[in-house]
Amino acid sequence: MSETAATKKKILLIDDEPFITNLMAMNLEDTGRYEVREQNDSLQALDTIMDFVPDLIVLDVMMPDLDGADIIYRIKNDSRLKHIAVVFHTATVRDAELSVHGGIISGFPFLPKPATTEQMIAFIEKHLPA
Amino acid sequence: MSEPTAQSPRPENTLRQLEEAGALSHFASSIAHEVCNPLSQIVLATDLLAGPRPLNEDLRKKITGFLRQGADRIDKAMKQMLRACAPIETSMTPENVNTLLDDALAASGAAAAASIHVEKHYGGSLPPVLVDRQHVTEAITHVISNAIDAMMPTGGTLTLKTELKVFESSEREGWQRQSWFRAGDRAVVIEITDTGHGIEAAKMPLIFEPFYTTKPAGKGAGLGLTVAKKIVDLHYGRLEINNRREGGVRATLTLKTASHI
Repeated sequence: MSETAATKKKILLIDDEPFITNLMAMNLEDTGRYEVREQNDSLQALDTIMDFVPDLIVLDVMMPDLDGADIIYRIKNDSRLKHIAVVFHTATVRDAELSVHGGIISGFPFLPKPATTEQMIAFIEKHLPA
Repeated sequence: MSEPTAQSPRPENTLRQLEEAGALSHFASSIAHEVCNPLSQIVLATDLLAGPRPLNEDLRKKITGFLRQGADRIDKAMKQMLRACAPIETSMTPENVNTLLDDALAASGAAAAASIHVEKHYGGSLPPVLVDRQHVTEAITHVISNAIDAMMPTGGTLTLKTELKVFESSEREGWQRQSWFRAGDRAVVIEITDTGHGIEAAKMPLIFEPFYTTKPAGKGAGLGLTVAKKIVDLHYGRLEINNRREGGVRATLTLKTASHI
């Protein structure tokens, strides 16, 4: 079912790989359920979060300048942002590591790269706030 | 303190094993990063091809570009990794460092970059160094390429300097006795400086780590300085990288002269 602009969930993709965010954005938008924004410069991430106010952030871990840990620290220590759901999408964890911890590491959900669009959507839906 | 026994490993061995385990772990996660990101790109591009979006000519070109670029990145990362891990065979000949530096400068493309101003301050009548010409030229090329990348896109000044150095006192570098410099040793020092943004102090210890890079995604796998260091170590030389007080980075490559190997 197609959503109206007002009911679409807002997803922010933060990853230094523009090809990945570009492809993810197109695949997610094609479902008609999400409004997607991309940010490839980690130094601009906080400003984009303030501006876009997403329902959920898909965050890369290994990035130049600020890495995923730096950004999550800043989000969770900012009273204006800490309510926003954050999931990690990273090449540096393995399925085996995640299966032991139920997909959660240090309190945050992780989805290993590469993930198909179907896996990504299921992951987003699982962690989107109601 | 009791002597180490068969049951209690020597502390330095334990530390080395821990260091090796840490390095291996870092190496593995770096490979995962370099391969899984472009793999992710390929998977998502395939999903887009199979999805509901109408494929006009522009989008088809864009998606095939994503696929090709992803495959090329994996190919490049694997080749560079094999290169970094492979044993290096050397064929030593006496060489003039000024010639090696010019060859490396040409290979790096610096001379062709309009925004890069190159200054040379070469020492005259330098004694030859006994090196593998191809490998040492490659090492210098990696250092110059890094200096150029650090100044882009705005450009800047690349300064190349060579001089003879006579060690006044002994200096140890690493564990190998052959790589120590003793009082009276003569070496040729190559200095490569740039006017780029420098390296954050916290990141300095990582610059020779394989796959460590501060360049944008897809612009470098982070193996250039790893390979350069490996080559210089093989020649019992020294490669040091420091921030300059006036900004930018100074790379100093020290090679013993042919008569002091």
